Amino acid sequence: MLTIYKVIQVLLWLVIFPMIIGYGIQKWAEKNANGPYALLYGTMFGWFVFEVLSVPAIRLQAAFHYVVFMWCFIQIIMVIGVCYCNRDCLKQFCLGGQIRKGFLKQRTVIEIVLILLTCLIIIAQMGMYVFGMSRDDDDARYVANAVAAVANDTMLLTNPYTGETLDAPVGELLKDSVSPWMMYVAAISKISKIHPAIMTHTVLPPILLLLTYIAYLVLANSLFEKDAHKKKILFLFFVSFFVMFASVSIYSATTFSLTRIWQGKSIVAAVIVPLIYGFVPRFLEQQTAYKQYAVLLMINGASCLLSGVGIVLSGLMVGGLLFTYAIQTRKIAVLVLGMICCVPNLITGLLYMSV
Amino acid sequence: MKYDMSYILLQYYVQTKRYLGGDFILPLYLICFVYLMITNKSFRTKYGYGLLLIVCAFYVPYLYFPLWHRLFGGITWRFFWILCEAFVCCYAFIDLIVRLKNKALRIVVVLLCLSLIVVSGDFVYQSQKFSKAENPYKLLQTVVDIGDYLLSIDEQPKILVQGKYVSQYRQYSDAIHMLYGRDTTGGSIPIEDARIEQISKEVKNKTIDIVFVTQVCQEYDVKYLVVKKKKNRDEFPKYGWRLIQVIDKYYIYMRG
Repeated sequence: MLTIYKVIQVLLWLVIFPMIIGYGIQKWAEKNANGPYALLYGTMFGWFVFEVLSVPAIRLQAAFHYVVFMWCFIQIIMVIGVCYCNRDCLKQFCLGGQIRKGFLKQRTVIEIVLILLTCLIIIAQMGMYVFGMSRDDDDARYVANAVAAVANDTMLLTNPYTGETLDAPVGELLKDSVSPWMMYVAAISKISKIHPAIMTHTVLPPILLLLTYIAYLVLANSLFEKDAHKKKILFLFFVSFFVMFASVSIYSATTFSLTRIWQGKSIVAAVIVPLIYGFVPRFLEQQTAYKQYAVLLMINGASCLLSGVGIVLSGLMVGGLLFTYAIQTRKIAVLVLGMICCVPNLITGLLYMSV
Repeated sequence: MKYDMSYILLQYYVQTKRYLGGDFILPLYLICFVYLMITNKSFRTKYGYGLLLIVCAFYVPYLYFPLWHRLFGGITWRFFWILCEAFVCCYAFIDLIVRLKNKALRIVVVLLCLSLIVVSGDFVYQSQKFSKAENPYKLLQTVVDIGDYLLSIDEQPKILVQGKYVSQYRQYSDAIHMLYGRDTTGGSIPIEDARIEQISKEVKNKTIDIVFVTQVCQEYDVKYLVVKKKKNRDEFPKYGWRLIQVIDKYYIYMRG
């Protein structure tokens, strides 16, 4: 019975709710919506909200359950709001399976083979996360922080290495207090009653890997024309193959993606970087797509939750790309709006540097 | 603080080398990037100029320590994640393939590209770090067994552990307290007592200074010692250590 409860909770908070919220965000910002994008945007929203709630709460040494409660409350309100505002469209969205069948019917044999091969590779990679194990000593801090948060109802007030109670975060915990990704993992563990180590090492990785490939799908849609399905499929096939075979060193982004994706910094390399490359170029054509700048702000805020490197890289990429777009289009608005999108990076960056 | 230019350049070399390892990905990446910059206007305008700008800014030596080193907390190789090799290389392959008119040639080039990927890097799952999961926690079963045993006899055991598994116990349970953890080998939460670092090295020896170990354990209220077989284990009872269990080559002693 407890296992069913755990599975339902994981599906609700990591898949269904993010998908509904993401659907609302996508409808609002882009007028149309699809399942994979909805999951990605909804997850980004959840991470962004968690960052906004948890950073001040950690500073104030508030109890962990307050943050969990507030986060769940906002998620549920958003789900209700999206369902109410889009009650007609959601029916069609749920019937998306029929559209997918149509999509497959229009594909050539080579395309179907490539889709199957890509799916097989991705499923195999997910399977490796579920049935394999990859040890990393950084988890001594990350996972122990989550375990302590669930056990003691505090955030970063336990020395993860020894278990000693702390008056305030010290050492690297100060950095974690600005990017408390593991508190998010602890929150999902608390809600679903799954041990944080199992949540971190077994449950989250396949979902994060799925988000990685959705981010590459966003990138593929940005790279190729709308109807160039064959190119997009081939791109995803190449990417899924590349990340598996192009492990150049233990430090490379591809290695991080497939060996320890549960760590915040790895998610930056695996999900945020391709997502920003896929998302930002739309501003070269649509310089004043204000709602989409709001989505970019949300993505930046989400990357701040993950790690210090998320704060730097997302800000740097958005800033660098939009700067060149502003020069190419000779429109200063692109740069100004881009800078506004980097406000979460600026705030958390200053906090990060000050600790 | 002012840094010597040669030291800055050495840092660039070390960090770049560390990220790229010894494989052919960098040459492959550079070829793909240059190819796309020359042949693909869309890539050039959407990504190429921006990426070049960011990379050039990174390689300004005067900015290395004041900006990049500070921003990345000293781990500047993480900057290279921005290169997103998968994206640039795969996009270049596809760009090349779609330019070919002959269908058979296209298939040949696809196969060549796949071979190139295999040749230029390593298979990620070959890493020694990867193994079959022993339990859903993805912790070593020995750690789980020792943890379970200690928690069955004590609500909040405080332990002194030998060996590489030290970083895993507190991932299993918050109730397990430790004299030291990864903070002696790489974590950055400061240890105030120098004797703790000393003891972490001491317990690795085949013969341990049990007087010193007992003294520190008494002071820090450590009740359990989890070590491999020691040559002078017969001396342990004299100092109040009693063998209570052996789990997978690990001897568990209890004080008092």
